[in-house]
Amino acid sequence: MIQIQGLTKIYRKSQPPAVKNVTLEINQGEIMGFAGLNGAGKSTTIRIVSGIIFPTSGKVLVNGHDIVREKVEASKHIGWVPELPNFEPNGKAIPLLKYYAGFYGIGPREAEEKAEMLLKKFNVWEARKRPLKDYSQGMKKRFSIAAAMIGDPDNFLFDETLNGLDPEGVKNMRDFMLSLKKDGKAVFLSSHILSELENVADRIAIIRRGELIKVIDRSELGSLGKSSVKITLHNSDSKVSGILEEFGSVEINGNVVYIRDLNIPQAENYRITEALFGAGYRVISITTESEGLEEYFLQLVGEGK
Amino acid sequence: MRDFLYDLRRTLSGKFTITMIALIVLFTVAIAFAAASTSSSSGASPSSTAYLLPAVFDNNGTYKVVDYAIDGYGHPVPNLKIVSYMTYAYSGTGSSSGEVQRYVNGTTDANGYFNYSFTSSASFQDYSYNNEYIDGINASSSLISIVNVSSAQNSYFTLRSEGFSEGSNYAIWLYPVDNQSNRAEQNIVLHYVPYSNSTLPTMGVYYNVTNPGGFSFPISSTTNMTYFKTISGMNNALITLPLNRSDNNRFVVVELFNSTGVYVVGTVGHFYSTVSASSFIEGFLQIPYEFLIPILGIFSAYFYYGKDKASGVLESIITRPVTKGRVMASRFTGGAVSFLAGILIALALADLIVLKYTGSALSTSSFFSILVGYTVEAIGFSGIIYLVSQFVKSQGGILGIGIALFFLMSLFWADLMDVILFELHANLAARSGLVESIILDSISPSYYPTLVLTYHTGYLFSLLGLVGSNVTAASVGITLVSVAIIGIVWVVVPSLASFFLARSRD
Ligand SMILES: Nc1ncnc2c1ncn2[C@@H]1O[C@H](COP(=O)(O)OP(=O)(O)O)[C@@H](O)[C@H]1O
Ligand SMILES: [Mg+2]
Repeated sequence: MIQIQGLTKIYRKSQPPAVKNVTLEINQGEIMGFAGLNGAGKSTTIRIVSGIIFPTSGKVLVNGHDIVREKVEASKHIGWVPELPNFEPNGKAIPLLKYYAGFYGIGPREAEEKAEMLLKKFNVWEARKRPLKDYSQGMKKRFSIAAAMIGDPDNFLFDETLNGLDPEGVKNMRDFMLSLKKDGKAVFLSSHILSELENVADRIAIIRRGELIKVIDRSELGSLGKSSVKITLHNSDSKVSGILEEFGSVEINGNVVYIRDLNIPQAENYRITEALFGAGYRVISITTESEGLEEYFLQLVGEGK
Repeated sequence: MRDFLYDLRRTLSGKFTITMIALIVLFTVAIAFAAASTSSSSGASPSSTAYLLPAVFDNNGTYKVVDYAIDGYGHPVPNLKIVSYMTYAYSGTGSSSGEVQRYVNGTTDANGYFNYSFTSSASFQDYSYNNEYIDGINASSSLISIVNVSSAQNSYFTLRSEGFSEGSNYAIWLYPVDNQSNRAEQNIVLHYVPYSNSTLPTMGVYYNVTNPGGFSFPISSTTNMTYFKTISGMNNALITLPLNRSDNNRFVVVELFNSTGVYVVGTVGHFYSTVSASSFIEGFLQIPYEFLIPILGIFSAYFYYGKDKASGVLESIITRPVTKGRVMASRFTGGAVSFLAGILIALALADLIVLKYTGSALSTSSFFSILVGYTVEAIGFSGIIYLVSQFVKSQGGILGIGIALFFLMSLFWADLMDVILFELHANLAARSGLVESIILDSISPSYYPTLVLTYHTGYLFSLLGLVGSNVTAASVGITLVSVAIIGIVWVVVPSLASFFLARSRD
């Protein structure tokens, strides 16, 4: 379990906080998506949780251990897959995994077996004799996952791990994450594309300019993205807005009327027509425009809107 | 702690550490060989050097010169061309007074002998010869003369020097030469020349080990000497005295006494190199180590830590159950231990090589001084780079600063400090000026080896050109306490500072 409590990170006093008062819990057996535009503070949050950088204030508990005060104990339970994997360029897969394993108190023989198992599982076994600098970006990422798993942690941090994968890669990665979930692991997965998280995350935390603005449950995802209605009237006038404002925000443009942020389910659109008829207006056409998850997301996190 | 020890062990067994230790050792061994094998005092190899041991007899106007040539190890030298002459002085009237010289020229035979005789009614006084030849060519700076003790007939000749004695029917030489199996140790050539065929009568060989300057020669009685053995019945012998290492750098008086205990002949040898291993090793290490040690300190800190920290590779380790401070500490300690191990092995081998060639070995305290001085220097430089790595975020930046520090704090440090002292108008002839210069120099780890050695020898040498000035180390504040404090500061301060920074900074 990862508990992020009131986390704030200020890199430079002259700049606004990269992460501001973020509070979030990721439970065992849960996949938490972490969505936000580039520069929103996802990597900063994840790097603090992984113990790479220090928080300015607030704290992170990993299985109840403070990542700053009880770094060694907390780190035993964290597997971090960075956005841009960066390993000793001349290192080789097996010795490097064995070296990492030693920090968890895993003996050389057991580490060797574990390394072999993981390298095979993540399809880097064939490349084990090559130095890591010769790995492709995808291989590095897969090696990076193997490296995160070497200590068999309870919690995983994936920073933009789905990003840039081909459809098959995305599918494999999703299956892998679901298997982690099934094993009772807590998974924290960031992305700057909300829809990437749609099919895998149980909940999605949305971060904008360092601030957590919303945590959406999986069950809410389907009904997200408000729709708007475009109505063309024969005889529009200013009183229309008074009649329609109970359904959302009304915008009149000659005979064309928009209702944005519709607050009734689409299935009840007939109530709009009824209200117009009742007031004596003639409706020429009525169309519903639904925003996708992504538009919703962009609108939520977007600048200026 | 477990994580620290784990990473330390891994650092120590890493390729880089092993390469570094191998580099220090090979480099040092190579220069030790080069320095030691060319360190013979004469500059020429003993086997290509020849020495002439002559004897001259006068038997009622029949003069007989017996030249015997040996090489630097005491072996006879055949085919040596000898040019020498005998002189007699006469006093006539007017311009007819002067010297007459009779050349005694020839070549030694297969046994190293050249015999020459002539008859003359003149009373020859001197036999003049060149004592030393290198590759067959005279290398003596002046002629040596064997002088007739009187102008009477049947008189005998003497060399007004140690090692030669002549009676009316024999001459005897004791001549120190190099020991072929141990270049430092000397053997004594015993060369007995009878007037007519005979061999050495029974003689007792005695010796006395003394300090330079603390002996008298010859010692006329056996009372204060150590008996070695009795010899007789030969013309040439090589005497190897039973000396040991504790006689290093001391002089040995060797004398022969006849069967009635009367002094016959004696000579003085030094049986171990007069070059002290400590100043010799320091001498040949100084210049190469001025480069090697800072470079090792700087580059190892860069490769163990700075490079990985700047590139982000360290992050893949920091995310493990270990703290940033302990990763830094284990890398630093690993480096420090490898410097110590590398310099220790290198110095031990250099010591053995020097011992083999010069016979002189480092004393424990000299060994320790050199080891500590250079190890602390390497650790100091590496600590500075660990500190720099806490602030500089790019590999190029760290490396650049490292190289700049090498030039600034190692190569040009002393000169730079001299400039500063000059600008400060420090009076280097006064103690206060010297102390200022030592303080300034001590601001760089590169000065630390000099500091330790100065403390060890007790005198300030060649500092700022004050060669030979009798400035004691203590009088300029170089004491055990100050040297220890500066050493601890170099080992502890930069590393501890970077440890705390590593613990608290991103
Ligand atoms: N090491 C750093 N020093 C200074 N600012 C940084 C550093 N890392 C990230 N930032 C800034 O913090 C903000 C958040 O960045 P990041 O956490 O990387 O965002 P994300 O991963 O969501 O794209 C950005 O404005 C970024 O420029
Ligand atoms: Mg990021």
